[in-house]
Formats: sequence, structure tokens, C-alpha cells
Amino acid sequence: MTNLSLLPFIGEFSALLLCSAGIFLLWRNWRQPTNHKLMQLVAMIFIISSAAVCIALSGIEFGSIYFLCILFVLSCLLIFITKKSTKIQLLPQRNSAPSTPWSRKKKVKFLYYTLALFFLCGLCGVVLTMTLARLFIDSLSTQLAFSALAFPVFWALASVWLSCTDKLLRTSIIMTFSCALMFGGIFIL
Amino acid sequence: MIIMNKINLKKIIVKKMFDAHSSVGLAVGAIMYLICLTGSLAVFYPEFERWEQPNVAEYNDFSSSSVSQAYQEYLSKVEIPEKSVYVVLPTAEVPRAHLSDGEQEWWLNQDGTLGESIRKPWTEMLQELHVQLHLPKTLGLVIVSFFGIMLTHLVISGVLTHSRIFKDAFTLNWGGTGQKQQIDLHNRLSVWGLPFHAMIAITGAFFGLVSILVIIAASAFYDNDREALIADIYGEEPVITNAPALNVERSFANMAIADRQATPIYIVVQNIGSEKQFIEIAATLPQRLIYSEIYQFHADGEYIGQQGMANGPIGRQAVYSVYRLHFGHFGNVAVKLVYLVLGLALTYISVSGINIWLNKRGRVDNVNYLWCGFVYGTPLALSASLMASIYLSISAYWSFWLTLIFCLVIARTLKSLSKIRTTLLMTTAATLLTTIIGYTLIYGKLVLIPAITTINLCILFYVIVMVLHSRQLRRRDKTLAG
Repeated sequence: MTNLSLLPFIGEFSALLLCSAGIFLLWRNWRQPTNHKLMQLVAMIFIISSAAVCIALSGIEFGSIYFLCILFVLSCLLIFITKKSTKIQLLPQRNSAPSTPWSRKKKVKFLYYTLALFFLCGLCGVVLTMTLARLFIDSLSTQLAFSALAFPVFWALASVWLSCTDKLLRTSIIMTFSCALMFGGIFIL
Repeated sequence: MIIMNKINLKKIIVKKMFDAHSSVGLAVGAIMYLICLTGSLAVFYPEFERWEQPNVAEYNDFSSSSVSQAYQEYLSKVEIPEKSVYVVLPTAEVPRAHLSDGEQEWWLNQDGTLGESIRKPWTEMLQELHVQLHLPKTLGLVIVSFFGIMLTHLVISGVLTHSRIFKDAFTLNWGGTGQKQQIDLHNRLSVWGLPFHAMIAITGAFFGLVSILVIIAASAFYDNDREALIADIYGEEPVITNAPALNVERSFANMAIADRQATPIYIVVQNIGSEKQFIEIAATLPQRLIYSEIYQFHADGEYIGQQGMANGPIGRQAVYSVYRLHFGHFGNVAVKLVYLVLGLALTYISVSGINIWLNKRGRVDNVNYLWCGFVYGTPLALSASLMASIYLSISAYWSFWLTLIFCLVIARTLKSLSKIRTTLLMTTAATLLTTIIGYTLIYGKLVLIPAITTINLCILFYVIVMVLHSRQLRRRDKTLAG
């Protein structure tokens, strides 16, 4: 008689093996001087099959998380096993001059940037998420749920934009105007 | 010409992203380290709670009549009951039930009588450090969530900075001056753990800052009625008048009929003792990430319906899945261990980011000493507060912060990175060893309970790792000096 209680274990083990094989092939391909398309394709097939097995065993929610965990652990193991060791050396010290205290202008800029990062980018992120949700999602409760989960990404994107720009003040003004516009839009839409 | 311009533009963007990544990373690195380290440990908070009070009765079965008895005992004990009174049922990870009204908490004996008050000073300190940095609750929660936003910023800018993301996918240079090793580890752990880091950052930001969204949305769509908005997302509570007498046993019996697959995790009586009282039973469902489905009953146990966490609108299901996803409380202990590893990876990324910057400066001064003292002093402060709460009943909060300040003073005084590291590592090991010995002397045979023994063995393993790491650092310093 077949012992069905072993099936989940066999499934988990095969997912692990498929993922290991996929990562190993990716690593082999990465080590070679030329890119081997077929090897890459087979590796991807193995990895996708591993994800499919995880999802089939534990459902889409747990399965996808388990697969990502397996992928992280196995790839890190491979990276550690294949690390390139060299003899330890002393970190060279340069006799560079100690940093000068911040000028008043720099302090003001830092304070402004911190406040803008919190208030302006925050408002921009939240309002932009809500506007997008209003435009593309019908149900109000789903709009709010989407906004609740997506606003950190838009907040962070706004802060990335602000931290990369040379024209801090101009960007802030653009952000403020677009915030006001979107805010009005949320009420009208 | 156009290609050259494109390459130059790409270089400029990467350079700007790198500057943004490093400046934000430097600004938030130290606090991020605290949040990540405590978060990694907090995954095991149910186990730590058990460890702090090993002398509480443990069992897996807790009958509905025991739940009923617990409520009767509670009502006879308190003069004015709180609005919501919870009985949290035993699970595999915490095989003991407890009753909580939000203000006070008691462990429950298997027959439903109230046992000892819950005392978990160190676990509470650890959780509050992670959730609110020991600041006033709302302020702390908002600040920690803001760090979630900053982590999302670092994830995005980090990916955009990393122009060799595929070329260096498996590169790890070990040894040398240590700088390349730190950069490689920082990048590899960041890239391979990217989905986890992004998930932790977004869900972490959600907990404290979603209130901003609630304020705006409530004013836009609900006439400033925030409760209506929350009810729309999470589902509504039933409106009850003239509630009958409490019959918990019947609600459990009806629950088994309503959903056979559900496993109850807690029961709550809302508006207890009033005419509006009703019962809610929260239960987990197989293969579902949602925290729980909530089954509602009249006070006499008559079934009302589900709140729709599992089968309601997709948005509600998504929002209610955030909790288990962030805390790593699903599946078995292997999931918790992976969460610990991933959390420690994020902790290492926070530390190595600042280390890389410090090494690039090319000089060693007070900033290096204080940073080293902070990084190696935090585990010592956590260990010292654990020891203080076991031996001396001193506030875990004060012992944590005082030890951390003491570590910074020591670091400033020693003025040698290798001495700071080895001193703090060995002190951490000694503190933990003393804690384990003292714990064994205080609780005697109770340390033989498998769960308690496992935690003690893990602490001992950590002590061994500390000692070995310290010896390795000493050998390294000798080699470099030679």
C-alpha cells in the first residue's frame, strides 16, 4: 500500500532539489566567460518549477514565501561556499584632515530636507497613491486597502526624487503644487 | 554622440543615487540597526514569554467550560470590567491560555481559574524597543514606521545604484582589508534578500503611518468618521441591544458547525456585562496568511456570521495578511528561523553600510570608537537587561539604556577598535552565561522543560559563538600586528 503521508515531505524535498539545481546552473553560467543561453533557460525552468511545487504544496500565499526563503538561503549558501579568500591585510589609513563643522547653510538644508522628507514626501506619497487608486479601482474599500499597502512605496519614491535633485526648492514647489492638484482631484473624482 | 550622452546620463544618475543612498543610510543606520536587531529577536517573543515564566501550567486542551469559568472569575475579580476581554487559547508554540482586558493579564489554569499575572519584563522591553524605541507610544510608532519608509527608500536607491547587479550576483571576496568583504556581503545579502527587505519595510511603514491615510480618506469620503472608514476596510461589528446572558460554550459548539476547518486562537467578549455584549471567536484557516477569520455570535452563543477577513473584499484580505507576514508567525519553527536569518542579514546590512563609509574616510577617530561601542554594546545591553530582570527585578528599560551608555563611555575610553570589540564580546558572553546559571539555580527542574532547554541551549550556543568570534578577532589582530 502507498504511504501518502510522505507526499508533502517528498514535495518539499523536490522543491529544494529543483531550486538548488537552478541556482547551481545559474552560478555555473555566471562563472563562465561567455553567457550560455540554454543553461540559463534550463536554470530558470528549474527555479520556476520549484516555485510551482512550493505553491502546489502550501497554496499561493505560503508557497511563494517559502520559495523566496529557499531561494535566499540556497543562494547565500552557494555564495559563502564559493567565496574567494585572500590573506588579511591592514586597512590603509590616510592622514586626511578631520571634517570641518557644518556651515549654517548646510544645517538649514539638512533640517529642510528632513522635514520635507517627512511631511512633503509623505503627503505626496499618500495623495498620489489615493489618486491612482481612485483612477483605476472601482470599490472604495479596495481603493483604501491598496492605498494603505502601496503608500510607503510612493512616499519612498518621492523621497528618492527629492534626495537626487540639485534643485531642492524647485522640486519642493512642484511637489506642493501637484499635491494640491491631486488632493482636489480626490475630492472631485 | 547620443550613446555617449546616454552613458554619461546613466553615470550621473547612478552617482546621484549612490549619494542619496549613502546619505540616507548614514542618517538612519544606527536606529535601523536597533530596530532590525530587536525585530529579528522579537520573532521569538512567544518563546521568550514562556522562558520568563517557566512555572506556569502548560497544556494543549482548554475546554469551552474552562473559557466560561475564566470569564466568571474575571467578572468576580474586577469591579468595572474593560470593554473587550480576551481569552487567548493555547497553541503549539505557547501551550498555555491567558486572559487579557487590555489593562491586566493573567495566565489561566487548565480548569479556567485565574493563575499568576503575566510577567514578561524583558520580552516587553524588547518588543517596545522594536515597535516604539521606548518613546511615547504614538510618537514612537510613527518614528519607527518612518524608518520603514526610509528602508524602502534605501531598497529603491540601492537597486538603482547597483549597476553590476547581475555581473556580481555571486561574488564574495573574503579577507583582504575587510572593505571588499563588507561591500560584497552588503550587496549580496541586499540583492538576494530584496523581496524580504522590501516586504518588511512596507509592512513596517504601514503599521504606524497608515493613520495619515485614514485622516485624509476619512475627510474625503466619510465626513471625518474614521470608525466608518475602518469598518469599511476591516468589516463591521454587529449592533446588539438587549443582549442575553453569556454562553461561551454554545458559541464554541456553533463555531464548530459554522466552519470545521477553522482553528480558534482567541475569544473576545465585547462590551462585557452590558446590554450590548456579544462574542467573537478568531480562528486561523489552513493555507491562509490572514491573521484570523472572526466569527461573531450573540452573547447566548447564537451564530451571527463571519467578519469576512478570509472571504470578504480582496483589499480586506490583503490588509489583514500584513501582520503574520511582518512577524513571521505562520508555518513552523523553520519559518521563524529563516525570519531570524533574514532579519539578522538586514541588521548586518545596516551595520556594514556605516562600516563601509567609516573605512572610506581613511582615518580612525571617536566616531569609529563610538560606532563600534554601539554595535557591540547593544547585544551586551540586551543581555544585561535580561540578567537584571531575572536576578534583580530591576527595570529592563533602564538596565538596557544604562548599559548601552556605559558601553559608549567604555568605547570612548579604550580608544582601540580591537580592544572594544573583544571586551564587549567577552562581557556579553559572560553576562549570558551568568544569566543561564542563575536561571537554572532559580527555577531548578523547570529548566528541563523541552522548550526552556532549547532556549537555554540556543543562548549557550550564542555564548560559544561570541567566545570563538572574540578569539578569531584577537588572532586577526595579532596577524596584522606581526
